[in-house]
Amino acid sequence: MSRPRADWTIVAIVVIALALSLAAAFIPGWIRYVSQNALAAALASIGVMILLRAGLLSFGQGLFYFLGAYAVALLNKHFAVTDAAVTVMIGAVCAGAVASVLGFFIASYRGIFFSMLTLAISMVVYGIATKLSFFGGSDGLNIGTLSFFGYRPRGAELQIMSFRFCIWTSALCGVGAHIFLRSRLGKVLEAIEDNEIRLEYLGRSVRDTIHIAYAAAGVLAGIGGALAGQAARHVDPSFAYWTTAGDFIFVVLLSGQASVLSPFAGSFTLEVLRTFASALFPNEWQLALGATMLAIVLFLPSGLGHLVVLIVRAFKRRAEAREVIEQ
Amino acid sequence: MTDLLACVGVQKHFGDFVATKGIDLTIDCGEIVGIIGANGAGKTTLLNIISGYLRPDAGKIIFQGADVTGTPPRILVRRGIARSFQIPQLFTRSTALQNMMLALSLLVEPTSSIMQTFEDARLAGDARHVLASYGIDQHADMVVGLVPQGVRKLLDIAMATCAHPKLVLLDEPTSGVSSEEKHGLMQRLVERFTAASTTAVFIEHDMDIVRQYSSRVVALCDGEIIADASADDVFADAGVIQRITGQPKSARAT
Repeated sequence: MSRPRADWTIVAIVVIALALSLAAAFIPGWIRYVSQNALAAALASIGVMILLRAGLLSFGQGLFYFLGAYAVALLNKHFAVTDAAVTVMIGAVCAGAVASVLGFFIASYRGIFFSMLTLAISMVVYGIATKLSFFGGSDGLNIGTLSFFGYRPRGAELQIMSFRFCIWTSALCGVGAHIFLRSRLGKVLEAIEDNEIRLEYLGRSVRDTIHIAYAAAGVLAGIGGALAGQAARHVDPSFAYWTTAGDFIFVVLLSGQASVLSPFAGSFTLEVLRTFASALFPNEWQLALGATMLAIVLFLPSGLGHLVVLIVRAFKRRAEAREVIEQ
Repeated sequence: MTDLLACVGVQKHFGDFVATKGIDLTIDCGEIVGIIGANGAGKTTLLNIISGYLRPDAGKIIFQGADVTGTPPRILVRRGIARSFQIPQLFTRSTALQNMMLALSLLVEPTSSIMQTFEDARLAGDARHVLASYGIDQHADMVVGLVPQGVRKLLDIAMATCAHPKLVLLDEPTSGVSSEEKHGLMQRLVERFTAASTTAVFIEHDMDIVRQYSSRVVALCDGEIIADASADDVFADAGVIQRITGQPKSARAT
């Protein structure tokens, strides 16, 4: 191991989390709620990004979002477990366990087969959830109240605590995902899309690597779903519907996959876009989202993250030009 | 027992086409074996079977006394069978250095964990060192998709052999390499293999290369071994001249 160096991505995540949790009381309630939804979706989107690095497009991350959210709601309803951290952890374990089992079978598929299978499994669960009264049918379930390590806030204080909890859970997951992506295993993941034969001849099982990535993406989506459930204090089967998974893909498309920070930015952009589009054009808001997607695909195929690269490049070029003139 | 590898009655067919018709071949430690034969003679199929990429329809592969028939490449490579490809198999979107780093982190340190970062100064240093030993370090920071074919070929071999395997299988190591560089490349490889007492099997179409660098030559024709002896004896063999190499001094058959 080399000596530890400052990793600016981790620093950025911690600084932003710290700033937001300190400012929590001064942020309007609706912004906190939108942010919590954005963070929850961002975690699931990081999972999509991890799989996309290996060239796999999952249309079924909604399944794990659903599992995480329902773990929180069912624990609350049947076992009166209200602790936010405990329920999120159990949600993550449930989603991770299901992803690990499904992974045995799904890790051998690539391309459109992988996408369609993940979609199909998710839709089957959606169908079951809408019919079973255990899951509250198509109405879903309410989440009574939340507690935080024994602390039981009420009213506005509950919302602020829930916001802070969401921020630090997301930050922790963001750091974890970043460490995974920058690791040697993370590099193997990128190599899968490039050349599977060479990887096998380097002694690495492609299948096992995809299996690990799929499980990790499942855990992230599970935590995201649990956070989304806690934010709305309500869960319903639409979490497993394919449009939920579509949102996560949209986020990655919007932001690009340069860094673990990208899906966070993409997810906030999508939430803001959706909030304003539905306020300004109540009946045509989906049209606005579609137009944005089209514009991104046409003009910024590497995502909004590429804008940062372009701006930095433009500044460098200007600085270089100035040097030439001054000489 | 100096047998490193033994193929016993190895057969493989693809539909109606018979690629290998019961090949028996033993390779001793320290040999440098050249395999010659026309296109479709079954040379690459044989390498694919030995390295575990294909499972033979019949027959066995014995490596260091153990039956390894049908064992996948990722296991065999850890046991010591490395392989390079006729068309270099690289990570074309990464740089040459990153390719080498990945090979080192997987082959040399198979325990590489999630906690170890990929962009590691020591790993990069080691990778640069290997690239330099093959004389391709000036291409280290270029994306592999853009470097010349000869460099890609060397990188492919460097990545395959960086874990110091016991047996190296090279599929046409000099194809795509310019004719001036061919001898230099083979010279370098053979020196390396001799120094590390690595056994090598290589497929080659350039008969000068085969004659000069192999301690033994195996001639394949239509999935069968038609000659297996020293280079001079094989090239003097009437069957080999008729079916593979053509008449001496005449245009070389392919």
